[in-house]
Amino acid sequence: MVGPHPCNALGRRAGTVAAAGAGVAYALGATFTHPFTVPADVVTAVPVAVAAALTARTIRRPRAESDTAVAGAARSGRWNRWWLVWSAAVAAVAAWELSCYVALPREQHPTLSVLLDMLDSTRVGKTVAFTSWLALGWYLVSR
Amino acid sequence: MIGRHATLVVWAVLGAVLAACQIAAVLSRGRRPGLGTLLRRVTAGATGRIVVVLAWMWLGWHTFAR
Repeated sequence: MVGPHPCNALGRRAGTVAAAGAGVAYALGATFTHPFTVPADVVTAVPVAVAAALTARTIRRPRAESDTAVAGAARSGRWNRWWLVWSAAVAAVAAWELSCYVALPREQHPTLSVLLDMLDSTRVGKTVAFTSWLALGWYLVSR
Repeated sequence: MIGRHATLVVWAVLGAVLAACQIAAVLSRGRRPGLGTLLRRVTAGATGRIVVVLAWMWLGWHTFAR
């Protein structure tokens, strides 16, 4: 049996490192923009547009084998219990977000958006937040 | 009436619960689903993928642009 060529694996790894570096650099650039300005709109719209194009392309692909395996495993009893645990945790977050959203004043009842604004208030925090957002987007469109 | 400090404590507890669930999933080595598996399950179909990508777009726009 012949495995993947070492040069291909090395090239893929180099590509991943380069993409990660470019993502961090882009996120760092985004920290110089401020919400409600045209530069912030542009710097956010570019990844959104790329993701839209890549999603439109990948949506026509057949479902990956690993996804089918996940769907099959999800039907087992043990996983069903864990889906319930995850569902309850996510529902609790959603319920708390809603209760904070309807309660005023906002300063006394910070929502997730306010917590994110606190993170975005520093350059390091915004770099981390923007990089995480880009990484999540890449994960979603590259599958 | 609940104050700012208590609100933030509840957020921290909820974050800790989510982190604990994820750590338990990672330590189980695939026997329990984690966030990644959850995401893969939701995005396995075209509709789920579109919904999650739209949610990702909204999150970025809401956080960084508006």
